Amino acid sequence: MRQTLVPLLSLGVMAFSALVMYTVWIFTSALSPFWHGMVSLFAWIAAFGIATAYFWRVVESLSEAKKA
Amino acid sequence: MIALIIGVSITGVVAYLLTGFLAPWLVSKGIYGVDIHKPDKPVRAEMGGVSVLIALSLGATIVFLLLDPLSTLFLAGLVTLILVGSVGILDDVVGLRQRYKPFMVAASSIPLAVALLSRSSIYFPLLGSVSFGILYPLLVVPLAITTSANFSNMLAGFNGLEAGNACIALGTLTLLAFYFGQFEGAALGLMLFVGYLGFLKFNWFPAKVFPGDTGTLLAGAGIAVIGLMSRLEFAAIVVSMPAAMDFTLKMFSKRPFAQRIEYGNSQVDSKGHLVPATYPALAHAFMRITPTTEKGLVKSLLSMELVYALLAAALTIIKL
Repeated sequence: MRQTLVPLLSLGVMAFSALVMYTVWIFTSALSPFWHGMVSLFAWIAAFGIATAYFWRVVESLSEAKKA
Repeated sequence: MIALIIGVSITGVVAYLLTGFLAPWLVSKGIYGVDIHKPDKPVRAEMGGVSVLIALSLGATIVFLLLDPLSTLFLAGLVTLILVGSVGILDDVVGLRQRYKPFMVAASSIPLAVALLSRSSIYFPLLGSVSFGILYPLLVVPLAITTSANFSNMLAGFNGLEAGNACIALGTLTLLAFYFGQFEGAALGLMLFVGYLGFLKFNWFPAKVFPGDTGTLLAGAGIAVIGLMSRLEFAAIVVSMPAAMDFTLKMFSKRPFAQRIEYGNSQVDSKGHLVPATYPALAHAFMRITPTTEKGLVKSLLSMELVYALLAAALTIIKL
């Protein structure tokens, strides 16, 4: 059952990064179509990286809790 | 349709028979690796993915010759895959330096980039078509193929994982390509899918053969090629998310491309449970959360891939 935590957390990572991308997409609509897409894409990549780092911290804390 | 049935059947049968033949032959020629996740550390054939590459080349050539009219896009996709597979063979035989591999894979994508020269945008749900202009053939195509091949090469090392992932991802993209009437991508995807299915019979736990870099690079490149050919870029991104996450986690360690040298491999204990290495990786996340065997881990990772495949299919078909 605990194995399902990893896919669930990863879906959270994906949802968060998508949310950041869509937010940036909405607020950068004044840019040219090319830069509008590029800025949103980079925002998604950055958010994905940050969320993945947090994912690992959660996994480590769950792992420590298991040991305790 | 008859051409496709013949090509697909040949690909599946050749991949299955050739893998069965190559498994002991490669070991006898000294091309083998140690299965480190078994208590007795048996020796198994490496570079088994070459059977999928040969089977695909044979089956796809037959389809290409029988198809009327001949498709440039189909040929470009096939040539790109053969070139990436050849880079994998080179890597398995002589061991390419990590810094050269991405450039060689990127160079292999030139045929597909040329065939997609007139394309400029990618469809994202809610955003609509995002224009990349000339960067689509010049940057997006080589970057997608190189990244996907590298992802597949990194999320690996457990019996049945690479081939299983390839089957789920390629199967999903193939079905979507058929659904959207993208015949060239669907045909090539179907041949890759049956090729990996034939290979999986010998790669599943306990494996008799490993895919090697030939098999992993080809699988990753296959996902990108089918996605690009069939205008399913977003679906290809979603099915690659578990591998993307694994890649990102590995980038957090001190030596991102040499973790095994720096930290060692995951081990197996006396109960058959896997003990993770200390660096971040998706497989290690499963091992850390709860004790698991190699077979259990692969089933968990494949289930995760299946979730993302279903998500990719749903988001693509709904087309928000």
